[in-house]
Amino acid sequence: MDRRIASAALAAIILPLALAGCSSLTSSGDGGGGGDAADFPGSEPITMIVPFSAGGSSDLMVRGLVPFMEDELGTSIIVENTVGAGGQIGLTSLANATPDGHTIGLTNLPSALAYVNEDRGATYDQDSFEALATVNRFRGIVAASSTGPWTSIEQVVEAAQAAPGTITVGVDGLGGDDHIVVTAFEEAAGVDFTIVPFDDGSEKMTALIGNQIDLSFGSVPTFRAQIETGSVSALAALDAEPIVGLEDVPTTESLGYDAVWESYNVLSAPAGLDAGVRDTLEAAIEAASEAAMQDADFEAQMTNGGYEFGFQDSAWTNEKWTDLDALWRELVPLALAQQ
Amino acid sequence: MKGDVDVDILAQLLAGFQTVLTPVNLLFALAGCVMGMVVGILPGFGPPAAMALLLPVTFVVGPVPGIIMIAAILYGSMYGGTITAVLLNVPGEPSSVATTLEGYALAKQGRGGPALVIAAAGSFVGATVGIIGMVLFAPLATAVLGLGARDYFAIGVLGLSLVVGLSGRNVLKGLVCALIGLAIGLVGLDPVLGTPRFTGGMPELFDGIDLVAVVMGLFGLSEMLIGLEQRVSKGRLTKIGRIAPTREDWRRSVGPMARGSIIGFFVGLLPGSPGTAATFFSYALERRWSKGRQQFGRGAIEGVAGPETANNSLGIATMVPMFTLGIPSSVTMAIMMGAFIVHGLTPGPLLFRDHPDVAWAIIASLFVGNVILLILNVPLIRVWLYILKIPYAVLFGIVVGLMILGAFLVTGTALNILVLLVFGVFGYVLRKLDVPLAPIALTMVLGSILEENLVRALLLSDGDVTTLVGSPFSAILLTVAALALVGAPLLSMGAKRLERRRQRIVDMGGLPTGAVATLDAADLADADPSDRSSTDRPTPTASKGE
Amino acid sequence: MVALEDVTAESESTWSPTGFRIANIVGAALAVALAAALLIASQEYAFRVRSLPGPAFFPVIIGVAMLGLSIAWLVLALLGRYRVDADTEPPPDRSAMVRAVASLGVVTASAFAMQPLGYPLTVAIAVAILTLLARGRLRAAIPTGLGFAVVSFLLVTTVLGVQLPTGVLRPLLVGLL
Repeated sequence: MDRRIASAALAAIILPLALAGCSSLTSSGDGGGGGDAADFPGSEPITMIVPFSAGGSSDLMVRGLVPFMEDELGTSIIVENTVGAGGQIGLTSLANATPDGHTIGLTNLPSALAYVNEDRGATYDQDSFEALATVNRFRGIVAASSTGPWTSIEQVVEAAQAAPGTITVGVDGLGGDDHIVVTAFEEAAGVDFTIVPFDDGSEKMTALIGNQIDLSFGSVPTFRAQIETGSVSALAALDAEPIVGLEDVPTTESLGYDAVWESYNVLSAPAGLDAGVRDTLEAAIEAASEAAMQDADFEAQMTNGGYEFGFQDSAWTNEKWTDLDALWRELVPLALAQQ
Repeated sequence: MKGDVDVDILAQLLAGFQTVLTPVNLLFALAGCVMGMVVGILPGFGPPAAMALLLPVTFVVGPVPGIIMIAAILYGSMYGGTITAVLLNVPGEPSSVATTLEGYALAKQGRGGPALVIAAAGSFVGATVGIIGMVLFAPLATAVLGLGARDYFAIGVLGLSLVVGLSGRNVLKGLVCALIGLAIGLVGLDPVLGTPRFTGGMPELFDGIDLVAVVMGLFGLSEMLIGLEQRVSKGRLTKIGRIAPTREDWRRSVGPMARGSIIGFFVGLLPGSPGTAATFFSYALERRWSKGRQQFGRGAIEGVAGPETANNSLGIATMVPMFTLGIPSSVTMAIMMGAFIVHGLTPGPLLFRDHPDVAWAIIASLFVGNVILLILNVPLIRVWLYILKIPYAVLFGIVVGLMILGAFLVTGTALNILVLLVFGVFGYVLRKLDVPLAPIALTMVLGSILEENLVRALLLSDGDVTTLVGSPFSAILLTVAALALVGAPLLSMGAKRLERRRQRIVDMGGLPTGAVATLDAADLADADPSDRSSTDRPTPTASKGE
Repeated sequence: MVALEDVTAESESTWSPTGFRIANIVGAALAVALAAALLIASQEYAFRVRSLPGPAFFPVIIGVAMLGLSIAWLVLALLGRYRVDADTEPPPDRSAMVRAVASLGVVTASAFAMQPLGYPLTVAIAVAILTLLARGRLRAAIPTGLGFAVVSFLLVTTVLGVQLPTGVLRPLLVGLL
């Protein structure tokens, strides 16, 4: 047991150096691949742009999946974290990359939809990308502090209807993913919350537990630790079906509110990609996803992290993107007009 | 968990030490410490990036060695960051700025060795106090939950009141400088409407101007530019000098370390509080009240001991909200929390109930890791001091090169190299005009905290301004800040009068300046031969500086 | 004895009282201009949003305070109230100025060269030129530039595992990644 760990430790230290040495010997001769579908990907490495910081939930998922994709494609994949402006920097560089299949990236929905807000000055939209596949979904809930006055969502809605603006909801930045879902909920329930923006999730969580704010909307993993500890309770699942592990929590659909938390990890290439190359990449992602799910370590990582890992093809992804794009164009102006 | 504390905690902590003191875990702690020091020395490449990149290793080796290593990177980087701050005046992050103020002044006098030893000792003391605090006062973290936006606003205002103390002899210029720091913090998405403000339409600036690039430019680059004025092309320092601090140094450092560790611990408990403020709180406190206050600005050991201790105590205290409440209070902590979660462990009270072995092993590892760092650091100080023997031309090339690399690494865009440049020029001009720079490093982190929490407090109170003094905590802090603002100028006026009297005595009978200059020239000539040899082979020593 | 030497204070020149006074006047005038620019730029944003401070609220407060204090600085500078003392940095001499400006040019160029030329090449050239600018000899500058580029590139890409742009050297370095 100890020996296994020790050898793993040794490997962790030596491997990167050894790999660097070997690969420099083996591949120093070739000149690089081309955009031709037949010999894609060749031996030229593929760059995977992750527009979020290393160590985040999206980054961890991608880094877990990449080795399986490398096996399928027969070339190395370099993960590049290009962070900033809530993903806008990385998405801009992905949109502007040469569409030869050697640059792909993560275009999470709905965070990629920030281009809908014109203030952001984004230079890309859905047409700038060629979606390849969706590999993961997060579900979301409405949460309140366990020591606060709220035990059910109906109770909150009643109070909010009686006195508009008295219920406070914390969001991660205005016009962000959670703010839009809050807006959808306000529209559906006919209520008016006071939106309190926070700079980062931990300040928001502290304020929620400390009863400084009433509600917080977010993905299940962000609340998991607090729900297990009992400091936060889930009032509603922002979904059509009950959430695995939170089956007792009523869904917004069952309560009659049309507000669903949809959050996906999507892989895309820049628009203009050769159809043959796209098919190669899409097939590789599908095969890699299947291989990954057979892997015990990867599976454990997904389960523990609250991921709902699963492959959806490019057609499904495009349709989802179009739907969410339309919904966002309707909700973003409403969300921003509130302020 | 609270009932049977005493005996239980001790037994579990001992079991934790047993787990850590196995070869495998020690190996990972050592790897983390070394990695952390490298990260600390490289300006711009912060611990979060390194921790995140090593996260996949924890999948392979399991939670205990993995998290031990990741935590070691965090506190190891604090030891590493001191080296460039003291020897080169290049702070790797805003929280190192307080250390540069006195540390670099000491290094210029050939007392870099004692400064680094005291810094390492202070780091160790700070971390140890932090760990003890974590074990004994963890429930305090729950009290933090009662603090709201107005309380954080009050903390920010109290931080602002330190500006006067940081400005030294030029309070007016210091205040102008502080306002410039606040203005830097305005760039980015505004907290009320979420619209871009002063960004010139560049999405790269939506998250604000990167503070690491700013401090590197203001302090590091401007210092290197000023160094170009010296005529000598040799190393800046001709003799390594004494490394061990004197008995006097130790005696003077005890108080600052004690105060610094307490300040750091309490600031660290507050999620989202400005960590940089803790180091400046400590600095300002020592500058005003410690016995060596007259020496501040010209190399006072208290100014190294206090902030360094505060910074490390703070580093440990930021882990408290995660262990007790499951709230990651910083980016770094979010990554550590990720390391727990991928293994199916939930940080928070449940961790102590369900996996006490893991929880206590990690707490014990914090202490063991700091012992490793202390053992690792003190002998290395002699090596680091050779940086000062590198001929200035080579040092200039390497240090500016390091800053270019650091600025680029911050977000992987060349824009931050230009930020470095702009603030390098800015720092150079301000120095020439006798404008104190330290206030900028403090206020640029306070600006967004003040603004966001003010907006949040008013949103929560429906626009009622009296909410700001509505909690006892905020009322007390705002009163203290007001007293400090009114009281400080009065005190400094008194100090100025004393200073003038002292100056008069020096002018009449003290050292004539000419004598000092002759002494210097003689020393330099003396050291010539040894130096020429080091000019010929500069790179081996140089590359260690990275 | 060694303890008191401060090499940076060694430059022979010191500020003349008039020189320092003019420098302070210029500095204060720049601060006034900066404050005015901040206030003018803030006009674009709302001062209040409903009952809340708007995006221009903080900028205006900071701008007004900065304007007032920098005018005070300007007045004191005009009155010649700022004196040079032992802690004042000496004025920049011409040769150092030229070197400093050239160094800044190198830093600027490196920002733009980073993507097309790649990190190793850009930094090797930049560090070598910077060493020369700091009065280093060519035989010291070249090994410094090359050594720094190679060591830092390998350290960052292999030990820290972070990608750096490879630029024109991509075919050569691609195997290393």
